[in-house]
Amino acid sequence: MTYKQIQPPIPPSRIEQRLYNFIPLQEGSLSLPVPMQKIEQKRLTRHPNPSCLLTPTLPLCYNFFVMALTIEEVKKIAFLARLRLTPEEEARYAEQLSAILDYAQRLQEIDTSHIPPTASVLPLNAPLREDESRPSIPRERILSNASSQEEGMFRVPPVLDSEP
Amino acid sequence: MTELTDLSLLEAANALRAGEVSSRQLAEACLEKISYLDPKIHAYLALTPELALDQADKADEALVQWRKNAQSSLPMTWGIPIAVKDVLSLEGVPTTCGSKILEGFHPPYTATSIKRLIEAGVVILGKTNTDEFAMGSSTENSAYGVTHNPWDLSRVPGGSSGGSAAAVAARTCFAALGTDTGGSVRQPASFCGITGLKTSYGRVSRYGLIAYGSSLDTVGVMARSAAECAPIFSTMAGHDPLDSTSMPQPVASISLDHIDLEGIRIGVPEEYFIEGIQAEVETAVRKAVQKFESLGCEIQEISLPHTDLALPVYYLIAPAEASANLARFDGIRFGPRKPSDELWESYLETRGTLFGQEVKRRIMLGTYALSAGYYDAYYGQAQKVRTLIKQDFESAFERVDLIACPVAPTTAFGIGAHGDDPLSMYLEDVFTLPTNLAGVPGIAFPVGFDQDGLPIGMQLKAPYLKEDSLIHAAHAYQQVTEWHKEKPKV
Repeated sequence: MTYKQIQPPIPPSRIEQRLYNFIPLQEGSLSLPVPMQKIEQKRLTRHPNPSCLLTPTLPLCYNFFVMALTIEEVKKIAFLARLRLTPEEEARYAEQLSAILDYAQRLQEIDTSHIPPTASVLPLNAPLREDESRPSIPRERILSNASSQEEGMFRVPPVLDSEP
Repeated sequence: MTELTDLSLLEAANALRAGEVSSRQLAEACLEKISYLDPKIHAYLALTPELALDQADKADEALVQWRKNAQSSLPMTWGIPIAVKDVLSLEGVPTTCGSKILEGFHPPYTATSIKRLIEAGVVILGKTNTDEFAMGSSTENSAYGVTHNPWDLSRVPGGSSGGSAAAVAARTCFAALGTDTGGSVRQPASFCGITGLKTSYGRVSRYGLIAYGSSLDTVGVMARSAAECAPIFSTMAGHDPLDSTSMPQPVASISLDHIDLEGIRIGVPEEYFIEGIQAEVETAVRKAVQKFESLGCEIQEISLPHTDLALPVYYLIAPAEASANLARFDGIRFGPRKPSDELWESYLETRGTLFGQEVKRRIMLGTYALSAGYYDAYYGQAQKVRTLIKQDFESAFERVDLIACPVAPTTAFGIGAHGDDPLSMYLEDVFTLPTNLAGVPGIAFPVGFDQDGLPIGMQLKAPYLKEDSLIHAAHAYQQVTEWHKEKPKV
């Protein structure tokens, strides 16, 4: 992947200017899809570290390796998420997701071996209630938004015999 | 009729009590204003005039009874028309979350936050526009069209609660509910020159809030001043047995009398004043900090060292949670379905065509971050760094009572300014994201205007559950300044 300092079509803010110096973008405008051959280059590319925007006093530009998503990986993720994408979307997401994941790489530098994860900011631990039955929402109201229903149930195509 | 909508929420509440105006008149004034302003602004996705007038009439009857027996207490919100962001469920009223995948969805129940406000006499005018599933910083991601900033119609109102912010700024309602997952109440409040309160995580029930990032979502309130946010907040906040993440601590009414900021320590974090902020934003915020100093506050330089990591942490955690939360949208139980004899076809087609670009992008990002082999490196690591960010706030709040900083690096940008570059849009949130990761409350309020006449907002952050400190500080500032009284010429 090549990195070019491009002129975006509209006057960029100072933050955008700093960002465009380091993020891979295809030639020309931002909104064109990336040609397939560019994405299928080497998976690992060396490039200057995106300078951390919030600590400009840190030294800039030390190199490390980043992952660029291939179209195959994008297809696999889209399938896991049950999303049908057009080829144009696949190419565009490959590029955009790579840029975002690339930016997220800076987390790898942090030593968290002694840090517990925060799944929730709350001190609570799944509070329990008394096991008493109480009325729920009436069935007709629940079914009122169904795209297809029959005899008080949601109607769906066959599940067990369905193949992706 | 326009004058009625220029009343503040508290002035309207007093006028209602005195019998000078009726709730129906307030509702009609708002609806009339909406009818001629909203075609330009597009803040509303659905209007509920029959419901509003019906609620207003009931509120008026109760007011008549109350005047006969003025001893009984009446909530400040009684008879006040408000708007609600379209990610909150209101039974029987179209709720879309700004997405085509929920087109025609009528929730079978009402969100607790709205329900409590309705029980306190509030009148619901309608549902406001939002970035799709609250994912965005400009309301451009709405599948139903962008909302225009009342201060400059060519600019965005901010997001994702852009519709609510624009509705309040244009004086088409007295307050509005929004949600804040990464800055979505504070940033549009800043762009639209109004006051937006992000509540502590767990303070307001999320029952009925269509989930985006379950460990980050909060319901917040937007109004023209902090004093007007207070009664809405006190009414809707508090423990809800239907939300197992709602905190049991009681919510006291916030008194606005005799506020003295003498001795309150305000921390100014160096990491938030960076190169790349619009110069006028920095000047206005620093001037506001000086104003707080003149009110008796003690200003200190502090450091929140992990601030620069908030963006990558958020854009791994929030999409990961979103990918799980949005898995329910498959066209089976709600929303339209792309029909097919094959279940897989139906899922792929429904989700592929009815979700917007940003939503699909975040679902994919989240799916990748959670997938086998990458979970520890991405989501797991992000959760650990989140602990560091939370600890930054905890240690800062041992030395200061409030943290002051800008809300966004710029004022309202033009519609389309960020093109198709998601990362440049994500950078709009750098100052608001850490608050959601730590779960602490924050408030944004106007502190000036730039040379294009666009509002500049400032943010205060407080320790967990200390929304009263935020309201007090912002109210004290708004008593000695006039920024929040400015009205857009629309």
